[in-house]
Amino acid sequence: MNAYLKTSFIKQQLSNLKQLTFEVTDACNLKCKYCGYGEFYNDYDKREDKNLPVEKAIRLLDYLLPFWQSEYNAAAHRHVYISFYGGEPLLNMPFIEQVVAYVEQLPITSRTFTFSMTTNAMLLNRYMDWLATKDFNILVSLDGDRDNNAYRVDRAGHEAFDTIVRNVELLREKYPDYFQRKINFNAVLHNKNSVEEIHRFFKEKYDTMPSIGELNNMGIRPDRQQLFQQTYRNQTESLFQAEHYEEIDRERFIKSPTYQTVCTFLHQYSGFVYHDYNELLYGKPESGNWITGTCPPFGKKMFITVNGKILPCERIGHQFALGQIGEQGVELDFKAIAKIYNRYFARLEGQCTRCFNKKSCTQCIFNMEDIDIDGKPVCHGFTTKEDFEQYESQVKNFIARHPEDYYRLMEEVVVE
Amino acid sequence: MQNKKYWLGILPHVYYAQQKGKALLYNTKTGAHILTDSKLIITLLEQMHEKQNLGVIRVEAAISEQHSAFIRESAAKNICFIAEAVENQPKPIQLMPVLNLQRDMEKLQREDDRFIGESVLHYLSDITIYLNDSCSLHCCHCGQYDRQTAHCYKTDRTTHFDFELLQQLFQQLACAPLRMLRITGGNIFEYRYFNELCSWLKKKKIYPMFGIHCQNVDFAQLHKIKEFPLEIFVNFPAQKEIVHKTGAAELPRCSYSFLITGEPEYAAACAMAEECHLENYKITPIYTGNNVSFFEENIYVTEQDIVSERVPQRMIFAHQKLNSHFFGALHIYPNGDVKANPNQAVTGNIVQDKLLQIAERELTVNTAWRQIRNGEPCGQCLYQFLCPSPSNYEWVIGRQNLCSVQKMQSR
Repeated sequence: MNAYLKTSFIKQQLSNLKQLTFEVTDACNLKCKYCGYGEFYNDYDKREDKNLPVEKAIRLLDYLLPFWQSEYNAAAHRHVYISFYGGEPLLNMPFIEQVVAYVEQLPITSRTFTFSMTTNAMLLNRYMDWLATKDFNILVSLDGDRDNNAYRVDRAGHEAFDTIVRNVELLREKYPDYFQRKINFNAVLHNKNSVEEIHRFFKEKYDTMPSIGELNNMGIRPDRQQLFQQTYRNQTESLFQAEHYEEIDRERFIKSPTYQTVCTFLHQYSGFVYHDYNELLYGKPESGNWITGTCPPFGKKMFITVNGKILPCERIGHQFALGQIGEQGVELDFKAIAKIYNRYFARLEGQCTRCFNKKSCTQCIFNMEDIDIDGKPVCHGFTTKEDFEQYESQVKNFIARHPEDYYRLMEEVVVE
Repeated sequence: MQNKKYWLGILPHVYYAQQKGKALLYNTKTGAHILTDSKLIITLLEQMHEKQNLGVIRVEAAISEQHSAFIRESAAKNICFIAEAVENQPKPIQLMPVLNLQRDMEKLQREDDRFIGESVLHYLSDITIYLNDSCSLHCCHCGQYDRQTAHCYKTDRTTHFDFELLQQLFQQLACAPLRMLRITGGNIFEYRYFNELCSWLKKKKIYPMFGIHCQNVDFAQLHKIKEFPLEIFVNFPAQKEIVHKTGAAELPRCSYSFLITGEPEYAAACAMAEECHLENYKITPIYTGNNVSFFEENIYVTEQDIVSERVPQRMIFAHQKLNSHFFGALHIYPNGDVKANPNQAVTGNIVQDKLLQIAERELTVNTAWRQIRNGEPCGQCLYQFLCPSPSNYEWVIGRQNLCSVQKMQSR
């Protein structure tokens, strides 16, 4: 089996961790129909209104600190995001306060800790003073106007829109500068909204541009497939259906899937994009030893579930935990992790070798059906020569129509 | 025929520079180039380089003879292409060579959540450690050598690198992607902890290159560094018998660096290398303050020299952003002082600072790593980024350009 991943590389990633996300609680004061931990899905641990114990978070931070101070640390200074996720994280405020206090006193000068949170804003009115004091980056989940937001309801089925908007307004009124700097929105696209409606709502109401996410189409319960399909909307298709498609696309720029596609192409195929000064000086390293678009474990973040499971990301099923925070300490077996990745990669290498888009693959192995079952998982991103030529031609047509955006993408966008 | 229209486009591997009414088109794949001062052609090229044109413009069949000649030449040199513009067919476009350096200092400084030193360890590639600063030799140009090339040095003090500090330093470098780790002095054999160092390095399986002046070679101690790469510095007047003796010694990883100040020394170095059957050696010119004519004849470049060797696109980009001689290099002195280049100011001291912090400071302050040809006169020269990065010679000679190009261009 090819050794795509070595244990030392995992240590390197941990030592240079960019984001640590805690699932503070699995409890939520909303019951959104499409929730990733809701009725559509079957790939998560059972929700039991549990809280993540502070001791576990502290145990993990104590485990990570020596890595950040080790010879594997590559940074003189680095931002580390400490993120709080749920459920609804504001339902477990004592955890957040204690973790923030603990992080603030960590004896490490090479790290600047930035706190962030994804919230439904239902309790924002209670905690906004403290959050503003700690300069939290806040991502508010809101799907657009009242109609667009109809899936976001409380446990009794009442619409949450009024409360969310009232709390957001209050925050804006009380802390206008903080609001402008640190408050962002995320809207989930579904069959009760559209890219155009979302875009217009946030532009008019908050003069801001939200990120727009699609429903996760992995881990769907077989008996909910049909309902899921009715609810699901594809962002690109929704954008194309917009009356002012070109205008919205241009305004959303790198937040738009069109620009993201072009940007990915340029990064891999223009030949003029360099990751860092070393690539300029010595050339790009041989790309041979990594396949798929999977991030290296902990290369982007580490996600801790409410049960103390350690995952490389919150977007993947809990069955893919790479370790856990146990009673005795943190259990991360680097050899075992490398083995898992190498085994999954081995199942795909045949497809990857033949794929014409392997250089700019965005397919994560953990979001691939049957990757954990012996046999051959099918990669839906597999690209034939013809597919690739079509992709290239679409990108070039786009650039031909928007020549100045080529320069904008090359000169302004930092994606790494 | 006369009404036919064509697309004229510049190819993406072509580097374009324009200065003082002249333009250079350089094929980075072959080195072929076109230099022009024709206003007509430069206007055409400027049009092609307007952002909305993406390197391609429409031209009439009935264009001037001057245009035609340029198009023929540029097509022959694979610099431009010409294609018939067919009705209802889309305009061809080119991805113009716009450098996109993701971790560019300026870009990271603009981002709120980024630090310029966030991955700085990966940049450490060339480390020179000076164990001590004492030496009993009286080399004619001592004080010049180490400012121009890898070499030992001395001061009027007697400082020994603290051994514990040295071990910590190696620890800090354990995961750095080093391409060169050099240990020199002073006379390294007089380093107070030399024995301990050799044993410790062997134990840790660290194999730096030791650098020593040939007259300081202590044959009684040579066995201690037999497993290590060794570079022997030879200046003139040279002691041939020592070179011969080291050549005959069983030193499987030994190389020689001859420092010459003129033609006779060059000839002597070549002869010595032959007589002593040296296989691995290099010859480096040293500026003494009195041998400028030797440099003018042998080091200074002409326009022809610059274009005679192909410069790939990546190196042209690199010359715009960093100094390809110095980037990633640190020189660490026995008192802990660190310089990015021996000719430049101290960037930090490892007694107080971590090496990563010093490297981050160098990225910001830029004493050497990002020194490029953006001053006068190079900043006004067509060959600004085709030329190699500024070297130590520029600094010791005190000239920004070691060439005759400006004289040519102003004619």
